[in-house]
Amino acid sequence: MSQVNFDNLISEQSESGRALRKLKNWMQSHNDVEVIYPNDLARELRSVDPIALTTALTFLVKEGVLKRVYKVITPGGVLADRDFNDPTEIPDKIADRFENTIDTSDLDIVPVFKKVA
Amino acid sequence: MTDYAALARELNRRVLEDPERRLLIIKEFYAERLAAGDPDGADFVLTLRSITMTDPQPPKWLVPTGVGFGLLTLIFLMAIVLLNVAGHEVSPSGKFALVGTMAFGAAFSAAAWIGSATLSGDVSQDSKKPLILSATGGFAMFVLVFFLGYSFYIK
Repeated sequence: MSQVNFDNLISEQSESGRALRKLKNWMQSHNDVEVIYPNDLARELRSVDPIALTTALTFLVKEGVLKRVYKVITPGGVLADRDFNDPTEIPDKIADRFENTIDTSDLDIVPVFKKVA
Repeated sequence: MTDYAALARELNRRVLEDPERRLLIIKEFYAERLAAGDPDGADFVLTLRSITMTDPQPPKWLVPTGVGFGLLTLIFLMAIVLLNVAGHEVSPSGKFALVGTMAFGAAFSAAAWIGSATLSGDVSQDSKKPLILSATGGFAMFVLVFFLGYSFYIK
């Protein structure tokens, strides 16, 4: 886990302090997790308000603790390997994990958060 | 201040209106926010949407189904008890069917409850396979009830 001092971050962001504290505890107890999926995180931190949790994640991106990338959800429900910095970079067709070409126009995307080394 | 929750709802509404163009709509939305000078807001809305609008929820019928099967099993057992009190003995061959029916009722009830609890995240935080957990729970309940019924009632 990054050695960033979370306590400073929490005091800087009083409005989302509770969300940041919960996120800090979660990241400490999931030290081996390198990629955070917001949907899964929200399930684990059910008591945290979604907007506060989004604010906390966004804050950590701005502070360089996390990096946000976008992934395409393939028709099979799994995430394609390739990362995109923003949705507009996603091409009309991509390869899935089995190197099949798939049309992306009707697919959904999810942001995922990677720990910055 | 921008209402990002409203923007997330608006994006979701657009997507639901034309799901065949899902990604194109998301791209259009993202480009709109960029044009409005709000790139952080665009990312914020997509993260919020991911957290709030794509979380699989158990179907509304799942818990009532579980309760229904449990209730049917209970009523069935109460009827058997009442019939027994009234002097109608269950025949030895009927005991097997009775225990089987009871086990199936309990199994369906457990499967529905476990499926609902798993989908809503109440069972295991790491669980990604609600159907497998639900089926396993139902099967375990069937085996347990059938074993107990066979051991204490049929034998």
